[in-house]
Amino acid sequence: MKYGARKGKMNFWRRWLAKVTSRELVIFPIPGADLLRVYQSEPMNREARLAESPKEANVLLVIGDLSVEMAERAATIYAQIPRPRVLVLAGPDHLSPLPHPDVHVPLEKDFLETVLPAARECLSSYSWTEEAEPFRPEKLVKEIEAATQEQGHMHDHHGHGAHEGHDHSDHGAHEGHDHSAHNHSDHGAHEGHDHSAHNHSDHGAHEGHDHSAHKHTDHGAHEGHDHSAHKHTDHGAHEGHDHSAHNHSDHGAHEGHDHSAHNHSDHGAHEGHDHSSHHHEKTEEDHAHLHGEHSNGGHDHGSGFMSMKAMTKDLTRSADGLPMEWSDVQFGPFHPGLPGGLRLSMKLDGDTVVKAVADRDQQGFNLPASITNNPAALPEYLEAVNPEAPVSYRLLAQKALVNFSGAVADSALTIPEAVQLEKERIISHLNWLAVFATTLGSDWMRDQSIKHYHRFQNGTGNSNQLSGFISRIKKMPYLKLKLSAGHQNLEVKNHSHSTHSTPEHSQGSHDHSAHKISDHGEHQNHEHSSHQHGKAEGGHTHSHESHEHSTHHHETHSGHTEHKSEDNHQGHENHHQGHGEHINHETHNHSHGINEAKDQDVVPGQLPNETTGPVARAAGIEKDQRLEEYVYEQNGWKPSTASGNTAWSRLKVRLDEMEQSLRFIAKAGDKFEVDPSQKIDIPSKGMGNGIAHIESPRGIVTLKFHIHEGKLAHFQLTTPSEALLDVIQQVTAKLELADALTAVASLDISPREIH
Amino acid sequence: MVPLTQYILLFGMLLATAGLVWMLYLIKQSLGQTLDEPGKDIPAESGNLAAKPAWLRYHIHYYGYALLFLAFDMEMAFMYPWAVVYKQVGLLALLDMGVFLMILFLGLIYTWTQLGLKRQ
Amino acid sequence: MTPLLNGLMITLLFLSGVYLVAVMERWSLTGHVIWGGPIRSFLLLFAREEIKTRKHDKVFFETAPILFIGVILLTISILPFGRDSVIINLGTGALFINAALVYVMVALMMIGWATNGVYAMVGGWRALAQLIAYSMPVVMVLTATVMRAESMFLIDIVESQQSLWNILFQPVGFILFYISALAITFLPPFDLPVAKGELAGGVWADLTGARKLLFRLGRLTLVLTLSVAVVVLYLGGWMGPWLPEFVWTFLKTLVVAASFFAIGRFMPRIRHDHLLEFNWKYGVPLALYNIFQVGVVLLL
Repeated sequence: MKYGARKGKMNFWRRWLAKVTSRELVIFPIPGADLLRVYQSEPMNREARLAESPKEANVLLVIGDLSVEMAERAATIYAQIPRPRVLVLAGPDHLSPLPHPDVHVPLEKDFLETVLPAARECLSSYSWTEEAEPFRPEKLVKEIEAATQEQGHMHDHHGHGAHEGHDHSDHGAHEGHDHSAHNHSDHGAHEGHDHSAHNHSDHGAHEGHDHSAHKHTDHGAHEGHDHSAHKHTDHGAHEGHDHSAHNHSDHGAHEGHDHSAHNHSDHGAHEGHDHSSHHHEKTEEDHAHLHGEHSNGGHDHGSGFMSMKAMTKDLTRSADGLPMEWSDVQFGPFHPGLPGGLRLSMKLDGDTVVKAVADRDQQGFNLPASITNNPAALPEYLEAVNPEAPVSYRLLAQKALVNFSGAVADSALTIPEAVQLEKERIISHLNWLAVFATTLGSDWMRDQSIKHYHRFQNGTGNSNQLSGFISRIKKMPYLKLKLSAGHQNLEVKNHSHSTHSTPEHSQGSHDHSAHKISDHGEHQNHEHSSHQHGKAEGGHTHSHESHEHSTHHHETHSGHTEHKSEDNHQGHENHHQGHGEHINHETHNHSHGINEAKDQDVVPGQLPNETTGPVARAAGIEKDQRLEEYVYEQNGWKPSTASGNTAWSRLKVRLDEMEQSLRFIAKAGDKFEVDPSQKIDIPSKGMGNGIAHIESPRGIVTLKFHIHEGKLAHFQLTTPSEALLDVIQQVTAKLELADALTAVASLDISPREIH
Repeated sequence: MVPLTQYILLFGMLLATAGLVWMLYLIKQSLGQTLDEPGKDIPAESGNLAAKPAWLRYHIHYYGYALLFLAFDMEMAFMYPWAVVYKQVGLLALLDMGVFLMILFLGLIYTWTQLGLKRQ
Repeated sequence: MTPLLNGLMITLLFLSGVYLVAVMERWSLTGHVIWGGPIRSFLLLFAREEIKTRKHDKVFFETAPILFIGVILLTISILPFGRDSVIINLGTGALFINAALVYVMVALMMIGWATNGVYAMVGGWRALAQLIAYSMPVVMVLTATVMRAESMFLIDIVESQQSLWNILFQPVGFILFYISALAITFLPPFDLPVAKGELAGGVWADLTGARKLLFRLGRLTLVLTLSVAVVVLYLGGWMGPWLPEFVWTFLKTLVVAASFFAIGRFMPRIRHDHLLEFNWKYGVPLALYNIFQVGVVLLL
């Protein structure tokens, strides 16, 4: 426990304290609580609970093997957990940046039962030791140092004492970095430097944002007025808040000179300046120099007064026209509201999501040699690597092998297999529902879905209770309203487009987005609740972003599909192209308006073509592999779709699917036992292709392989989660952060399926 | 008690709370120092190193509401004493304040129709 | 009762109230009633290391927890548990409740800024939005209760409910105050600043040790305080048949606090823009209507 214990001697009080507090275990699961649930057979009881953030956890539980990047992030989390802390590895012996585990158990069902007492023992006996050492993984230390250098200058603001003193040497280090807080071309003014980040570190919040516009060579210049800017902003919100009361004097006094100080100094000094040379020399003297005198900025260069408008000229404007700073944040691999392992990098404008990109460097999928040499073992292998949907993958591999060998006439699913598949669908949806409920913030939904999940996993599920639960969810107050973010009002949208077409073209490309956003905002206002409009202008149920270029589903109807789908993803980037499109679409809109009335809320062209599964069905696209299966058709089964392409429709589709599965299972009867998988023999000289599709709970999974002389030559697995990653930007653009996270959670992406 | 005494007492309670809290910190410190490690003081960002400080010119979207709040808050400052003497003064009080409230209410309606009451 | 005994009794009630509320909170989160839970959590926060985030804002970091718990204690000291059982019978009691509790949200904003993390920052600004949202309805309905009592002394407000409790006299006001109380204590469904699923702990994600303890304890105390406030303003305070006064207050308070926790389980978290929108578009007009209704009824 040397990396997990507190440093000190164990005396009586500490021992008592350790013993009493070890009864309360707060677990931080890596990669996520959803994977932890797969290995449990009953809900976690009173002995342990899950942590929201690392700082309140005392047990770090790693489940299964992690890729290198994930292990590094797990090490970061471990470093953030206050001591005393216990590291538990379930599965691997040792994961490189993390230290050696305090408790190690093999990865099997119910491993938590052995882990908890062991962790408790660790905590109660070893919470304080003398041999405790700091945990210093190399990579982490290097990254942290790089990060600290980037942060650079936070000055010592004397009157405030708000920041610890920073040494100006930081400035030097700062030079070469790209603070990609905003990557706006308009900041090109400073040779690719991003002042914004720099500015943050400088002042905290500032009205001096114009630094970006001026090459920020002299930190000295900033410093002078920073003090003032900093003082007042530091004291809380700028919006007429109480705190501002006590800073009024500062505020007023600085108002005038802040900007001027900046302007004088920065302006003249920098056009075409080379920072690096300038940098260090200037800082010290400027700092001293400018401390007291704001009014002339301490530099003699620079000319007159610059208005706020001119100062913030080159900043990107947000939707409502204000130049504000955007932050880069990551909703990382280990977030309680997202599927475990999914990492989103977001650019936030305040709390609106501007850009959201999912990380694709998940674990690589390399087939081990044992499988390449023995393709017949593929079903078991796939079942093992996908603990969340084992049955689907096993059936998929079996189907593919059957197709390959041609031994059986067709590789359709038999009834017992279909029943298994449907049972897994229920279980998977319940697990997803638990994660979704955490994102939503409804504890009841989460607890109930966990309860049902475990019951169905054990086979003791009660379908009546589950149906009751499902209908109660559908009737939950406010849920539909909350999840309908991004649902746009149809006819009003058209207005906006017409009015906005002209101004948009006149502005620069970066304002395109701004305008788009604003008009959506307006419409959004007009009745959130009544989403469905009778006289729809055709399929406008969109999330805002779809507008950018793609709002007009008319396009799809009129055959602009291809055009649209690419636009979808690019969002802001295709400004110019979008502009042109925009006008065309508008005209289309109006002309097609009447015709589309029937297709309201169906937005087929909005999602990329590869999207399958409940997400596609929630947008009205009827893609379901089960339509091709005879056993389903026999039972009179139809895919459940919904319209609207919002989180609510995805929730509804999954709830409906659960009910369908329940009915299917009930109809098919439970009298069939689980068929032992037929072993398919691969002759050693076998050659051929095997292709199969199956409808897993998340979408259609396709397996293609080529066997050459009895060994796997070519292997390709297409999973639905990969396609869903492309949808993320579209689904989250311009939504508020909470709605964006809810939307991403509603997609049900499984990071383990991404290769 | 004289109101002044009461307020002084309240202020004293605030100071006493601060004192209690300070004692709590002392007790906590006696249980051991924090071991300094890299990464420990990085704010939580689900496993990522939060490189940049979070202080920036944050774009809040509710300034429309905030402005209206200011106006209404001033109104409420007037309503407190009015409420105390309301029953005494009777109908006149209702009418007087009614007019005031109505004007502000119309302001609210105006903001509503001008799309100020939405996420900017 | 002598003032000393009074003060002692109130303190005892207060402490046991906080403990019971803590147990209730644990129950609402996990579904289990663990009687020793609060003590263990309290000790756990002591036993662990205390971490201050890098480059935090010192002034805010230190002030926020103290401010948070300080104003809550102030508020509870002016709330009456019985006709003579009040620590400070403040002449501007009704106003003080709101005025002091504003600082709760301010403290959240401060701590969100101070810890210098993006999640906390987002949570902090959301806390401010919550303040702007609920303030107006709360102030207006408080005014309506003052209208009935013709004074701002909280004891008078309770006494004015002799004939009919305010919950029946001003039902709209009660509903609005109840909802606003949920918003002040940032309990689900209004737990925007500390959203578990969205911000991974939000405002207090980076706090450890004593400061975290102050916030958690403070929030529980806040629940208790607001429950007492609801009882005093709307549920007739200490009025009831045989039991002594403070027992009645205590029982009613526990019922209200349990209902606070229970409601949160069944609704998803309210959306940030809906919070503001619903409060301003529907809450404020309803509150104005409430004042009007009370005014008319009082004159009849």
